Amino acid sequence: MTSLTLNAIIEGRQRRGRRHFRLVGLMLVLVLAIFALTLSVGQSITPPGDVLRVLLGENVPGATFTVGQLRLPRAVLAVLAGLSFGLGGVAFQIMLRNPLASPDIIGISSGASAAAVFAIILLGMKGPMVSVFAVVAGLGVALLVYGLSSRNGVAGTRLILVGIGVSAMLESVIAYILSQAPAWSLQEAMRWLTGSVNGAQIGQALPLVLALVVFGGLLLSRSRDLEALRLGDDTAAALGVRVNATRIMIIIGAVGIIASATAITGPIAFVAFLSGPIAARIVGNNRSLLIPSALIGALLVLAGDYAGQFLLPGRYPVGVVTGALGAPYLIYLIVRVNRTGGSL
Amino acid sequence: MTVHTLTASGLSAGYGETEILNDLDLAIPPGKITVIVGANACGKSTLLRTMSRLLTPHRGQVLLDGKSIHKTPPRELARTLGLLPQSPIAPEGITVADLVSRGRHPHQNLFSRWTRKDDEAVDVALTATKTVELADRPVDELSGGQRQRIWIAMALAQETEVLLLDEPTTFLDISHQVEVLDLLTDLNHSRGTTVVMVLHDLNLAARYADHLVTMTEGRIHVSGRPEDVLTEATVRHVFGLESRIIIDPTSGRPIMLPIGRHRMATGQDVKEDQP
Amino acid sequence: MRLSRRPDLPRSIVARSHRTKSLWLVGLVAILALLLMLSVTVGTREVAWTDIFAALSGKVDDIGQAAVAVRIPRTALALMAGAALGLAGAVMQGVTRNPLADPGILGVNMGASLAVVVGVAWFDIASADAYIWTAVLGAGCSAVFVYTIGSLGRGGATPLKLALAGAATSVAFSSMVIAVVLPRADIAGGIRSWQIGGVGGATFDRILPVLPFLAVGFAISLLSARKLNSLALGDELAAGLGERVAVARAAAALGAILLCGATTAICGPIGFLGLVVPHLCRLLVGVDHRWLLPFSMIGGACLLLAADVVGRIVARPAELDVGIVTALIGAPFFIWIVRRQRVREL
Repeated sequence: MTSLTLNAIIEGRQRRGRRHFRLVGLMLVLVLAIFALTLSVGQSITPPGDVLRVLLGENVPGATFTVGQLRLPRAVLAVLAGLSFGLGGVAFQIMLRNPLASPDIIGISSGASAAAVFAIILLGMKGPMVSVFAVVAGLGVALLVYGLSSRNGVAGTRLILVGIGVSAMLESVIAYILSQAPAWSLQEAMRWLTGSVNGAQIGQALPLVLALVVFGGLLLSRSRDLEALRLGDDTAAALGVRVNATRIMIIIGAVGIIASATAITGPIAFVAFLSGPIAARIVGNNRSLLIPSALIGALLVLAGDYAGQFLLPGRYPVGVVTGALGAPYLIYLIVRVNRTGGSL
Repeated sequence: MTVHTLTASGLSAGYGETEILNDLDLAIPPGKITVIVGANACGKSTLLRTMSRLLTPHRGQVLLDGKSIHKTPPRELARTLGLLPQSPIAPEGITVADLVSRGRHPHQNLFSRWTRKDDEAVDVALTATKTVELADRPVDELSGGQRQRIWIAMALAQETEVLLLDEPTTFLDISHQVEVLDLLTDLNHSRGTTVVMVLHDLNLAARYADHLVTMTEGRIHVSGRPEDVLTEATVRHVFGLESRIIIDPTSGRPIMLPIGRHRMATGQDVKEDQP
Repeated sequence: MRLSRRPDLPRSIVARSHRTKSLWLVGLVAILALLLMLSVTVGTREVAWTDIFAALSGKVDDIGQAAVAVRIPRTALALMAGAALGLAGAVMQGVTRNPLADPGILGVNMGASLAVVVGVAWFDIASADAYIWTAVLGAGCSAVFVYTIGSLGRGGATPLKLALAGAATSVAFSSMVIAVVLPRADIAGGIRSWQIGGVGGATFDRILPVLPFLAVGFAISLLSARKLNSLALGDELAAGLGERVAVARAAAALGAILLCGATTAICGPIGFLGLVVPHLCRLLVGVDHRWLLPFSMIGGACLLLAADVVGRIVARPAELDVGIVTALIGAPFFIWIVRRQRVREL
């Protein structure tokens, strides 16, 4: 009798596990497929064979520049930024148990963006220094929001509200700095207001890869504690999680990854906010959402950038596309969350 | 099964500056069901939260087997001492089996894989709470009573020998309240689990407790066998209420009947002070 | 008899005597007068007193007098916009019974912006009247939209849900604004400077068309004071006192929307003023809307004038737009309010 129910339980667990991995695998395949598409189909079509030869380092007349210099850096950066936003966003959402508590709403993204604009326009910084500056500023903002919202312990709702206030202030700082820029271009301003992968260079990928390994690794190593936190702080503590220590690790990891990406692409609108809930809709809430959400983030940025370049009349930076696409989903999400009062 | 002792000594605790528990001493009898009752805001939940490490005491300590729980590594503690908080949160769409599996958290670490032992613990927990047939259902679809059994199953999967519960019967109707309390009594009898819970209903508390603890103003008022503790004098002191105590013919336990100002069968209603 | 005792009124309604309140009123008006004077005299260019008086009497013979002549409509606009936003904030907080309600937080300003930007880019609106109608329409739609989203589900419109719905809607709207503006390099520059929010460059010709809107808005809002006092007791109690709750609420909200829509149409979105002012005024006069509304009006005018003057001084020789100054002052204040609230109420 007991062994019968035991087998049913094992079988059910394995079935759900297999379904989870199938769906994650499907996402991975989709990311690779769109990646390949963006490499070979743009203003002109490059045959897949030529793309492959360029990737292997051969010099193919006509393709080496388009694929190697224009499309590849752009696609690589889109994937890396998407992974970062998806991973960092969902970590925040799970930690605070509120899909609306994503870094783009509580001020982390605008903090990193303001720091990047400040460093580039007013301090004349370039390259990796900007990333470091943005990460430090992002952590500073996170610390500020966390500190301002802690009174007899941090309450999630207060943290979100404080974040909204801080975010509003930082956005006006960005607006001010941009208005001070000597050579003001709308395209460049767009990057810091809504995010863009225009003019990507392959060298920019390195700090992002580094950030993904260090901060992403930190987040993934905490994934079990994060899962326990979803049951409520008290339940997590009862299960042996050091709630405050875990929170700090998650904040460092998520802020680090988000700020590094923001320093290069700007705060790509809604990607951090949308990836988690979309991933939850697809794979369910039975397993950790970190990796599915990162993949969804990569998909959103890749597809959004592609659509902004080639599928829409005129050329839009990816942030405008994800922003406009995200709006209806966002409203649906708010309505649904309000109705059920539930988590992701 | 080893017998664990849980005691609090000289405990003062609260939120921020405000002190809710005030130099409190308490010993939980091992292997028994202890129920804590008291008026609103007397510190029942604070006591439970401090005894389960959710709250750090200002002064004094909580000892599990003679060792301060606030100095024990949390994961180690969570293998002996479990807590079901008042309002745990179920992620949307999670299935019963997966939620109950979360109770295995303290038994795992970063690199360990899910083992047969974990599956067995889940199986035992589901069987004990009679929720095996719900295993593949999403938790959202369940009724309040079923959901409470799932949460208890999660706490069971944790395989702790001491289990603390903060008002496990709130929001349940009376039949489900009795069902949950019967279930906890089964566990206590079959496994010898030490159960400590806060309850609102004085009569259910007297009915199910081996050891009844009453609290006022952050201190223990009296504790002991329900028959000895639940008296008209205790109710007057703890709740500020006049009452009569009779004996339940079914269980032989005391029952508290409140005396209000109206509906006196014996004569006139008691009038409020006339001007 | 205990049962027939009437419910307790909020203590602060009765706590302060009319006399103290009147004194505060006089003081506030004096501050306003001082700020009006400063706004005309202080600027990026130093101007001699004789020139100021000459300009005030209508002469524009030299540069100094001309500079002052430019400052006069600007001051008038700051006065009206500040009064309108302060009053609108007080009314919104009363209507929603929500301490965080503010035209900026609720996304009303962003809604007006989006409507204007769409109107300019796609429908070629150019006349001042069309501008204002579009802005008021956008403000109204987004207010209703945000409030509806925020109040769906359990517990009605809690501060958290309302603020989140407003913040999220603002993000969505601002990205739509960008999407509309980006392909239109011809209008991008004008819209960008308008989007930060400011009172610089005002002329009487531009102010004139909004006056009727503002007048109606002021009238409706000020007349709703008594109704807001009833609403403050909760919908059920207000209905029990014989108030038609839905009508009262809709009327007051209409007044507030007219005020912030019209203001946004000429100044662009100016955030946080409507949040800060009513809270400060409540510290002075308590929660009686018959006092709070006029105080918020005057207080709003004072704060916007002050912000405008500060913006002219700190960034000399350039100017800091007043929208940036109010955000920098207002956001910390917002955080302060959030911290003051107890968690359960949020």
